[in-house]
Formats: sequence, structure tokens, C-alpha cells
Amino acid sequence: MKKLATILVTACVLTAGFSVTAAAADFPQRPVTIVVPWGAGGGSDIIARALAKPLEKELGKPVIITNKPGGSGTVGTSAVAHSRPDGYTVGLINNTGLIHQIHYGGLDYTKADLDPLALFLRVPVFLVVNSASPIKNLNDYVKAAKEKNGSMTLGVAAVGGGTHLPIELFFKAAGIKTQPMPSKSGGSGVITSLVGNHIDSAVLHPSEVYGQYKAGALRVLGVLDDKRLEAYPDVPTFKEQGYNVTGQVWRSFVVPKNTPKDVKDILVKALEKATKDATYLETLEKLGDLPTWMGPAEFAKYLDEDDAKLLAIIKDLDLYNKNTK
Amino acid sequence: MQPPDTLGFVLAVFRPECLWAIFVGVFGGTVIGALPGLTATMGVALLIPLTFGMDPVIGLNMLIGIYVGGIYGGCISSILVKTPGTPASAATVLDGYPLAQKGQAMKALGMATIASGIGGLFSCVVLAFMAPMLASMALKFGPAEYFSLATFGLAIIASLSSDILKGILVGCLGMLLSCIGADPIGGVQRFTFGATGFADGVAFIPALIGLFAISEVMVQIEHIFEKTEVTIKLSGSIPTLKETLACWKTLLRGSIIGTIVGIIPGTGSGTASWIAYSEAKRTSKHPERYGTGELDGVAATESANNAVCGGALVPLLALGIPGDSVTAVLVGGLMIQGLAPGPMLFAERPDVVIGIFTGSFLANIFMIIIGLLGVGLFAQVLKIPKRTLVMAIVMFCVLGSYAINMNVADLYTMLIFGVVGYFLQKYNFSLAAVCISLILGPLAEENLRLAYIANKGDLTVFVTRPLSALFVFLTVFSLFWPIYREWKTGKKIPQ
Repeated sequence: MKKLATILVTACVLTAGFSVTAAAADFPQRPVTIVVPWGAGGGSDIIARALAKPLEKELGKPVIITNKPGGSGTVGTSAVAHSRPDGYTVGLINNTGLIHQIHYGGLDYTKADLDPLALFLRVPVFLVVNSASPIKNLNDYVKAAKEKNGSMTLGVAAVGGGTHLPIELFFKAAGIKTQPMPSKSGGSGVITSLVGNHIDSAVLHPSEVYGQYKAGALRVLGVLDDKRLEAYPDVPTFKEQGYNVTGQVWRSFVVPKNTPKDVKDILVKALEKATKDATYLETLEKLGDLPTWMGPAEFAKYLDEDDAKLLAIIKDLDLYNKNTK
Repeated sequence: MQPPDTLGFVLAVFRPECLWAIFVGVFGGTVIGALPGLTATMGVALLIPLTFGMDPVIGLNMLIGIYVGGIYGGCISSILVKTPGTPASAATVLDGYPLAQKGQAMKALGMATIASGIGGLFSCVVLAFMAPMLASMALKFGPAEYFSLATFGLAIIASLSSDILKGILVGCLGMLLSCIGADPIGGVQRFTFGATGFADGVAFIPALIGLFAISEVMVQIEHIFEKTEVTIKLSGSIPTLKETLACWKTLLRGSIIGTIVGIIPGTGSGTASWIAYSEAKRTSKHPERYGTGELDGVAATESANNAVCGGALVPLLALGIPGDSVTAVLVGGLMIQGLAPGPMLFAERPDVVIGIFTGSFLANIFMIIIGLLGVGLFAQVLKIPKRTLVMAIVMFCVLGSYAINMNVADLYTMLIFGVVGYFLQKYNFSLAAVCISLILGPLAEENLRLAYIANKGDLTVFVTRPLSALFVFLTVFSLFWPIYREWKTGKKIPQ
């Protein structure tokens, strides 16, 4: 009997730690996991792994990267939304998981299930044609698209994906329609079709076009960002060419809702410092991604704005709730 | 412009630290490949961050070592325990495992090693001397060509099945299963019944593990308590020079098929090994022996899947376009070094390009050495009592299936496919046919629809574009060849 009591008491003591969220002052007590909802070796994964080291220095505990790919980033995002809100699970989520996919329906989480920590990265978007194409600038593109009456093909990594929606903002402003041509192998598949002249145009990230652009096989018509990119000084913005639209893929850190505020503060502070690390910034430069910083409040506001802007496009394209209707 | 110092760049690879990196890569890759569920793609992806601080030539050659070793290593578990270590070696199961059952595991493993080496070296020669020229050929592949190529691959099902009707039946089953998940054009969810775990469709590797490994475990369990456990006697040794030379046609054909499939972006070692197998069987003097332990069958699949390595590097280095899933991950490895893969790489960094050419040669040579020295050791697996082995296999299957995406749904996939595979085996359906349609079904569907969209519904493109027409012709030819031969020889050829 005494033995049984001892076991019970020991069990209670041992499990007590699980039910009580550790006081924030002690955070973190154990390794912090960053969930990357994309496969190992992809853009998000390289970023996460480059950030892990400086983040470990700030937090004083190991940082583990877990890849949970699938469903255009929704499988991993859902895992973050349903994890314990104790700050030990942080998601590196981009806008497709937080905005696009939610409107396509069929998911088991919403934006409200996640608390934004910080938006820390922008990946610019290019509109590209083969250099043999007669299209030299956006005006030519609009004219050609009107002539083709909706049959101008546009290579995209995925219909309704991260690069596709921003460019649709431009199409809407210009009053044109194109025929999206997705590729199962994503950006690299799109580039293959474009260089091989199987499609009329494509929307791609700078890192994807760099090699072929430098070799003169592709022509970049414009960058969908506020200002020109340092690595592409000759590529004008859309604004310069008379179309006041911007858009990009962004990456952010989120935690499950109900994570204690003081824990979030510690994470945000550590992230802000870690994203200033020199080696990390060097990696970004090589990938062609732009560092940026929005704290929780600013990011939350921006998220709502971006959401409203893209929802209009999603409805125009008849993609809203495509998985539930 | 000064000509690049080719010899200097080649010799730079022979630095001890570089040789060591390649060796470690090949060795590690072989282990990763041999473990079911852990693929070359995963091995390369996980090690990319490690190469960040390395010299580009050393870092990239280590990754290529893993690539080459990973594709090779898959054959070890295919031959010994009927569990393809990677999808690349699924076709090796067909003849490799029966050989091991006959006690000729050493011979099968030896042939697989030699074939992998020959395929790999062949494709390296092509890579080093013809990359820019061949890369432009890869660009001719549009949706129409991909669809016709996939159809050609699917026609293999006809030659693999003992009963053509049963073959078509399970082929259709595989096609239907590949429809689960987001559709390739609009991304609309099909047949997922709201389960997010299946959003990307049936996870291919867990399905493969279930189909081949779990079903086999169930077959084994039927006899596990029988007192008279038959232990396989290990006889024979690695293939003799004469036996190797007897396969020279198959080896050459496999190498060529693998290299070409590797060069074409979007198709990889899985596709290559099936096409090579079916071609070997079709042209063989005694196709009836295939599937019962024919050394030629192992030679065909293994030479083809390793020839993909060099082939897939052709468009990567010459155009910046990856040739298969591993090279797609390698793009990240190049970028982390600040190297933009693409046509300018040859001009800007000849040291890296020539270093990679040299490194891939060495990786293949190391692979042959490691393989041939290890054959005797690997084969010891067969001496493990069945009861222990079966449990170990199940453990690795579960581990491997979960490790890919950390998704519990993948374990259910493995289990369901295991049960389905068991009954398919029992009733003499071809598991290979399910496997092929799972690989090629999605490729065919995506490109049929893209071709349809791009040509506004005009489906004559499949025969009016020359490359596509060639594949359509090959498809028809491979379907009617057996019938023609039967008619000509006047006797029925058992398939």
C-alpha cells in the first residue's frame, strides 16, 4: 500500500509540470520547435535553418526545425494552430497558409487560431517573358493580352498560389485576363516551359529567374514591389509603368492563439535580434529575399489589409471556397 | 579570355578533404538509400545546411555523393527483403528478390552494384562532354511530349502482367488512387473526405512501402510458426566477368534510357527503372524468365536508375533547371553557396562545374568499391531468423513512412496499402502495375490537361509534334510487339 502511494505521489509530481504553463520568466526551459510547412531544402526551410543558429543564441536553448509539408502549406499551419499554446511551437508561415488557403475552404483552422508574432521577409514577384517575345514592357503585355482575348498563357507555380494572386491584382487594374498554366514541379517547372517557349509569360521569384535572366534567355517586364531591387537595377516597378499595384509573398512567425503575452514578447524580441544576424542576412541576399520587420501589432493590421485585398481577387477568380462548394 | 585551367580544376577535387567528403557522402547515401522511407532527396535536403560553410566544390560533391549513394543503396533492401529502399529501386524487387530467395543474393547485389556503377559512369561521360547540347533538347518537352512519354511508360503494365486483364484492372486502380488529393490544375480537393492529411494525395513512399514491404511481411507471417523454417543458403558470389559481359546490351540500354529520362525535367529514377525493365524484357530472348530471378532484370533497373544522376545534372548545370526531385533540392545547395544555377555558371565558375563533373565520376567509383566490398556483409541480413527480421522490417517501414512528412495519415496509407497489396499478391495481381500508375498517372493527367488548355482543346498536338508522335509510336509498337512476335513464331509466349 505504501509502495502504491509512493508511486502515485511520484507520478503526480512528475506530471505536474505538463499541466502548468511555466512562468514566462523561465521561458524557454526546453528546445523550441519551428514548424516549416514546406519540404526540406525549399525557400522557407533554408531561411528557417539559417535563422536557427542566431535564434538559439538569443533564446539560450536549442531550436529544432520540423518540416511538415503538404496541402500548399496548410498541413503544417494546421499543426501549429492545434499545438499547445506555450511558445514552444512556432510556425514559419507565409501568406498562402494564413490567407489564400483559408478562403479556398476545407481547412480545420482559421486566421483567428493563430497569433501573429512578426512579418520578417518579403519575396518579390516578377512578370517574365521569353526574350524572343515581342513584348517589351507592361503596355505591350496588356495590348497583347487584349488581342489574345484571354488565351494568353501565364505560367504559375500553382493556381491561386503565392505568386499567382499578386499578379492578378495587376490584371484587374489593367482590365485583362490570362490563362494560368500551373506546374506540379512549381517554379522550376514554370521556368522550363518559359525558356522552352511552351507558354507566353510567367510569374516567378527573382531567385528562380536569376540564371536564365543573366544569360539573356528571359526578359523581366517588371517587379511587383515598391521599389527596384538592388540586384536588378534595370527592372522597373509596375508603379513606374503606370500600374499602381504591389504585392509579394511574405513569410512570418506565428504561434497558436492563447499563448501567454509575456512568452510572445520574449519570442518577438529574440526574433527581432536574430533577424539582424550577419550570416543570416548574407543567406537572404543570396536567395534574393528582402528582409523586413513588422512587430505583432503592425503585422496583425497588415494581415487584415492584405487579406481584404486578396479576398476580392479570390472572389473575382471564382476560387472562393472551391473546396467546400 | 583565358581558357579555364581544366586540369587544375580536375586535380582540385583530388584534395584529401574533398575525396573524404565524397566518400562520406556516398557511404552515408548508401545507408540512407537502403533504409526504406529515407530517400536520396531527403538525405540531400537535410545535409544542405551543413555544406553552407564548406568550399563549394567540397560541399556540392558531398551532396552528389549522397545522391549517387542514395539511389544505389535502395537496391540492397529491394533485393534482400523485398522492400524498395527508395522508389528508384522498386523495379529491382521483381528479379532481385527471387534471386536472393534462390540463395544468389550475392550475385544480385554484385550485379546491382556493377550496373549502378556502369549506368552512373556512362551518364557522367554524357554530362561532362555533351551537357549544353543535350540540355537544349530537354526544353523541347512541352505538355504534349510529357503526356506521350507518360503513356509510353504506362504501356509497360501490359508487358508486366501475367494476365493482361488483371494488369489493366490494377493499373486503373493505381490511376484512381492517384486522383486523390488536390487536382493538378485548379488545386480543388478530390476524394479526401475532408481529411487534411490527404490534401496532397496518397503519399507515394508510404504507399510503396505498404504495397511491397508490409504485404510481404503478411505473406511471411503465414509461415512464421512452421517448425521447418527454411533458411536460405548463401551460395554463389558476385557475378563473374562472363556473366557481366553477357548483360552488356541490357546495361548499355539501361544506361541510355536512364540518362535520357534524367535529362528530361520532371521525370526521375523511378520512371527510368520501369522503362528500362520493360525494354529489357521486351527485347529479351526469354522474357518468360523475367520476374523469376533474371540477372538481366536487375542489370536493367539498376543501370537505369543510377544513370539518371548524371542525366539530371545536365539541365541543372546547363540551364539551371533540375532534372529530377533530388536535383531540385540541389538548386538550394547551389544557391546557399551563392551560385546561381544556369547557363552562366559554366562561364562564371568553371572551377565549380568541372569540380562537379570530376566529383560525380569519383562518387560512382567509390560507390562500386563500397558496394562490392559490402556485398558479403549486406547479404548476412538473410541469415537473421525470419521472426526477428519481419519485426525489424515493420519497424523500419513505420519509421520511414512517418519520417517523410511527420504526418500520421501516412501511416494509415502504409497500412491500407499493405492490406490491399497482400490480397493483390494472393490473387496474382501485379503490384508493379499499381506502382507504375501511381508514378505516371499524375504526370499523364497534369500534362493531358495542360496540353488541352494550351491548344484550346485541339488534341491532335499529340501526333503533330514530332517528339510526342515518336512516343505515341513507341507506345503502339510496344503494345503490339508481343502479339506480332507470337504470330510470327507461331507459338504462345508465356508472359
